[in-house]
Order: sequence, then C-alpha cells, then structure tokens
Amino acid sequence: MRSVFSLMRFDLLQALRNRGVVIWVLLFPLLLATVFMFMFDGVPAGGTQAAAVGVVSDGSEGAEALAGALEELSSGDDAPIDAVRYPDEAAAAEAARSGEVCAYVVAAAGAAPRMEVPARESGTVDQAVVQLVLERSLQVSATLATVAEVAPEALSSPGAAVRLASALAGDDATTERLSVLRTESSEFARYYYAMLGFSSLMGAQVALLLVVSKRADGTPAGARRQLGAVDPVAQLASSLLAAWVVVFACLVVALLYMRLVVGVSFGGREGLAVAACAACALVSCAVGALIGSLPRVSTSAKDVVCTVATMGLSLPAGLFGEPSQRLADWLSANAPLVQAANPAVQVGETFYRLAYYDSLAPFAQSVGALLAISAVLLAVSALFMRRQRYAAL
Amino acid sequence: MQLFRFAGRVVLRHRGLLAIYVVALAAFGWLMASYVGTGSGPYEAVRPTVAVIDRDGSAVSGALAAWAAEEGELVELPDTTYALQDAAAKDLANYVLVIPEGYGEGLEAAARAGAEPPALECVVSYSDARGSLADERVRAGAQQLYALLAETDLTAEEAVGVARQARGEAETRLEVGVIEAEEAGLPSDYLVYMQFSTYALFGGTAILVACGLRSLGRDQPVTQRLLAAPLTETARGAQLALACLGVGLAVWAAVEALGALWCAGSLAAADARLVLLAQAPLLALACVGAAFGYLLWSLGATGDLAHAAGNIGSMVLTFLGGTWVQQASMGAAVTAVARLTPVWWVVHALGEVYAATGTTGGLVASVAAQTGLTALFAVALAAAGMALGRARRRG
Repeated sequence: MRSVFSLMRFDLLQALRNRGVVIWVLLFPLLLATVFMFMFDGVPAGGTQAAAVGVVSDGSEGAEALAGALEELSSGDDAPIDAVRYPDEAAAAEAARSGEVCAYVVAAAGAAPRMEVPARESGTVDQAVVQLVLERSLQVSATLATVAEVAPEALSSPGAAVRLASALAGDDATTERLSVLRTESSEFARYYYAMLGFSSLMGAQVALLLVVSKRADGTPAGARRQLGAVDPVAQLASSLLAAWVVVFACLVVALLYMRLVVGVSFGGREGLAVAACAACALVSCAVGALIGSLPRVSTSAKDVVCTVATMGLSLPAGLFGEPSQRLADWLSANAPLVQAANPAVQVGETFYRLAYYDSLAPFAQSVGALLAISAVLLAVSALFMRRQRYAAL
Repeated sequence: MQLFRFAGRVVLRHRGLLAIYVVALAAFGWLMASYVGTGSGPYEAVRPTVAVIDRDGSAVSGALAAWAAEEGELVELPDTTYALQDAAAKDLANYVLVIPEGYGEGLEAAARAGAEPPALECVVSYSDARGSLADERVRAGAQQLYALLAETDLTAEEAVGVARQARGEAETRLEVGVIEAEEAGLPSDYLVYMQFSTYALFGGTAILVACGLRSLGRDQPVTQRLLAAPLTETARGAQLALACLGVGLAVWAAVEALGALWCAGSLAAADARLVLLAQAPLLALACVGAAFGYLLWSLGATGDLAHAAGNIGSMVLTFLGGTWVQQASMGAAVTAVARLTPVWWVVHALGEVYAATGTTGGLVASVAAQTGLTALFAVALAAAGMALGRARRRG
C-alpha cells in the first residue's frame, strides 16, 4: 500500500506539471463558464417577442375592421403581434421572403382573411401565434352564427349579439403559471450542466496520460516501470487514484466558480454536488483508462481518440448551442438508452436532477448510471491491460 | 517555391489533426444540420407537446382538455408532484395544463354572476415559445366557454357543443397559403453547417498551421539548415506565409466540399450563385485562422499551448460570433464586443445570404464588405506574427 501512495505522489506531480492537463482540465471549464456568463447576461430568459406580421387591406369596411383589430393587438408591452401595413401583396410577400415579417394577412371584402407564409420558413411559432389571432377573430363570427342557429332566443334581445361578441373577444379567462421545480430553471442552465459533462470528459486526459506512462508499449519510461519492483497492478492503481484526485479537485474548483462567481444554482445541495463530482471524476478516469489501454494504438492516436470522444459525447449533451440541444431532446425522447450510456449526458443529468427535483431518487439514479458506466469501462480496460502488459517487453 | 511546397506538405501530413479538426468537426456540423432540416415545405401549424391533468372531470374541463390535446402532441402524465417536476425538468411537455377540481362549476357560476372566472393552472416550458402558444390557445378556449355561459342561457354541455362547432368552422374558414420563392435560397441545414464550420475554419486551421509548422520552428535543426540556404529572409518569410495561406485554403476547401457533399440533396434546388457567395466570408475566415496559426507559430507555441489557444480562441469567437446562440438573442453589451471579432461578421454575412432569395448588387456589396472586414483581421494577425517573428529572431 505504501508503494501505491508513493507512486501516487509522483503521478500527481506528473499530472500537475503537464501543461495540457492544467489548461484543459482546470482552466478551460473556468473560461467557458465565464464566456457563458457574459453571453447570457442581459438576454431575457424565456421571453417572447411580438410576432411581426404584414397586413394588406383592400380598404373595404370589413377589411379595415380586421386590419384595425390586428393593429390594436399590436399595442402594449405584452402585444402578441406587431402588425405592419403594406400597400399591396407584392410588397408584403417580399417582406415575408426577406424575414421582415413572419407572414402576412390579406383582408378583403366578402372573403375570409388569408394568411400567407414564406415557403422557406413555414410552421414557425410566430406564424402559429398569428394564426391563433386570426382564428379567434373568425371564432367570434362563427360562434355568433352557431348560437343564432342552435339557440336563436339567446340573441333575440337588443344588443345581445354585440355583448356576446365583446365577451368572446375579451380576456377574462386566465391561467396561473405553477413553479414546480426546486429552483427556477432557464434555457441557459443546460449549458452549464452540459459544460460540467464536457469538463469531466476532458479530465479523461489525466488518466490517459498516467496510464500510457505505465504501459510497456506506451513510452520507454513505461517499459522500465513495468520491469520495476512494483507490481503492475499497484502502478495502475496509483495512476487511477492520482487521476481521480486531480479531476475531482478540478471539478470542485469549476463547481465553486459556477456557484460563487457565475451564480448557477444547485438547489441548495452544494454538498451533494461535491459528492456528484466524485462520481464524475470516476467516470472520467474510466474513460481515460479505457482509451489509454487500447492495444496496438499509438499514443498520439489515443490523444486523437480522446479528443474526438470528448467532443462527440458532448454533442448530444447539448453543449454546442440550440441545434445540439434539440438533438439531445430528440435522442432523449427516441433513444433514451443511447443517452443513458453517454457519460457526458449522465454528468449533466446528475447536476440537473440534483438542482430541480425534490426527490433525490433521480439524482441517485444518475449517480448509479455513472458508477455502472465506470465499472464497465474499467473492466474492459483491465482486460486490455492484462493482455498487453508484457507485449512490449 | 521549394519551401512553400515543403511546408505545406509537412502540415498536411498531420493526419490526426486533420481527422479531428476537419473531418470530425465537419461531421458534427453535418449531424446538427441534418437534424435541423431544410426549413421549407408546406405549412403545418406548430404542435407543442402538451400534457393535461384534469382534476375536475366536468364537461367544461373535458372540452378544454380535448382542445389542448387536438392542437398539440399529447404526452401522458400522472398527477403527481414528481411527474410534474420530471416533465418540467426534462422538458417532456412544452405545456402542462392542470384543471383544478370544481373548475367547470366555478366557471359557470362566475359567468352567470358576471364575476371573474377561476384561473386554470399550468406549467410552461422555459425552452421556447411553444408553451406560451399552447397557453394562449387554452385561454382562448376558456374565454369562449365563459362568454357563451355569461351571455346566453345555454347549459355547460350546450355551450361546449356550440364552441366546438364554431371552432371547427373558424379553422376551415382560415386559408393559409405558402409564398413560393422566385429563386430558391439557401436551405436551413446548409446554413447551420456553414455556421458550425466557423469553428474548424478558425481554430482548426490555426492549430494545423501552428502544430504542423512545429518542425520548422526557430529552435529546430531543419530551420538552421534552411537559414544556410541561398534564400533571402523576405523570400523565406513570404513562402512560409503562402504555405499558411495554402493550409487555410485546403481546410476551407475540404470543409466546404464535405458540406456540399452531405447537404447535396437540399442544395440541389438552391441558387448556385448564393452558395458561391456564402463561401467568400468563410474563405476569409480560414485566412484569419491561418494568420492566427502563423502568429502562434511565430510566438513559438508548442503542442498544448497551440491546441489551447486555437480551441479556446475558436470557442470564444464562435460563441461571440453567433454560431451557437443567435446574434439577435445577444445583449447590447455582448453585441458591441462581438462586432470586434471576425466570426461575428462571417455569421452576419451568412445570415444575409440566407435571407436573400437571389443575388442582387446590394447583397454582393454587403457580403464583399463584410468579407473584406474579416480579411483585415487576417492581415492584422499576419502582420503581428511577422513582426513578432522578426523580433524573436533578432532577439
């Protein structure tokens, strides 16, 4: 045991003296978190902007009434739409094509309003908002007609139709938004949790570096170490232990930075977040150990594999912007097992579940998944190490 | 031109770097582009994912639940706190409608008395505006029922029947058409691919140049031999700069060729002139990457430092430039800083080309101006690299 700790001390020194480890495992997450902090500062979270819509009227009374109603809806801070008048359809179509407006509405005498959307941007949320506004307007007349048909006595009194039309166009019905999560969520929180997943995988470089330096076919020093007096298993154990300590420390530093400087919430469970870092560091070591133990692969090729694996696994974790988050959502819905087996996704999920759920069961499930992934990867790497240990001697 | 050819060959022999920074990054871009789709086609109204928890069980609540389900993709959700948290945390549903017990009776009583109706409860997703859209739809349905119960003597069941019939008629009366473009513009998937390629064009090129030219570094024996060759300092510097430019050109050609190959289906209908116009700012960015790589090489940055500078620089610039988060979503302060970076102008120019349906003089002039602006960054970085390189040699 003493030899393991003695070796571990040298492994720690070797890792901390490696410029790549310091840059990628310690500094890069801090820098990325800082970039996120400045990027998302001042951006309204979950805010909705009014849908810009073009209006073309033929000047008739009915058309002007609709155009006026749309313009009325454009006023105020919470206006759902922003109506812009155009003299003719050609001008409105050009504005829709160029993206100035999401669609345009044609109001003409004796005809139902017509909505036109550009072919390249059809089916957007803004267009659905315009459609809803138009349908509500049509619903008023359709409801009046249906009531007149089904219960004509309801509209027999003077002014009944006007009162009903006014009530139909009103906004008495309300909804109350519930806050069900432990802490307030935002679309930007995902970036920070995904970044922790990315950082964990970047930490695989530490284990890779230390494992390769112990392999007989990795470096000349590795060959000499394998011939030394210390048992190869003890050498490997010291490497993994040292790698785990380094990655764990770096993740805790990133966590503290995110909590204290950036202000990312962990739902008041910072202690458990630190414990989660321990599991994340373990999976990081397991990934590094597996890549480091790959037989018949050069050290430089292993570096390439590690980088590609880090970026490739981080992609479905939602780190790389909106398209990758949509890909992550799609995979979660359609291929949950793929996401469950992805360590970068599981790291992000661990912190996410810790922050947002009342129950700790989902958090424990994610930690369990990380431990299971680590166990599998370490078992495979042990097989590779066992078979290759003396190959280069 | 012996040194130019030699340097270019040395750089392009780094197959591992090429695999990561050209092929892998291009593949990631294609993966995301293929998920986004082409963005064109017949109109289909947005259908948010909706879950309904009906604690009332009345005719009114049944109608509201049915309408919410009809206008979205229904997600089954049990009525537990955990399920609600799960849905909100994982964004399983853009909108969860909770109809409280007694809502139907409460709505009818309030309508008859002319009082304020009871509120429905909901959980709206933080991710985008779909949840808010579903909320608007639900409130429109509730308002319709409230108005019918307030202004007529219809029973709740009759009001639901009238509302359902009127909604059907309104939907069929609204005509939605699609404006076909006179000329086909760039497809959305190709735009996403091009935006994602900015990472490889800047960072990838810089790392390839900085690491690839390592063997020609000031402290390397081969450089000492080259210094003894009958070649002026200016000629040697010019050939090396040309080699860096050649690497940038090669990376740009490879990334864009892969993009054209992978997006060939959607690009088939696009205006070829627009596709070519979009290449101009990307090529300028590859030159900026090459100039940055040359600067790093001049500073003597070795493997780890070059990788760090290239990747971190690329990550920061692409975030600021609008590759990951839309430029329109950025705050004023971030935009002010972002305008001082090359990727911002590239993404902006690509956005203009994407918005266009045909090549006009104004568009070409605007893209050319932004390409020129991007190229100026390359000139500035290359000049800084030459000056620092010369100072280091003399030092």
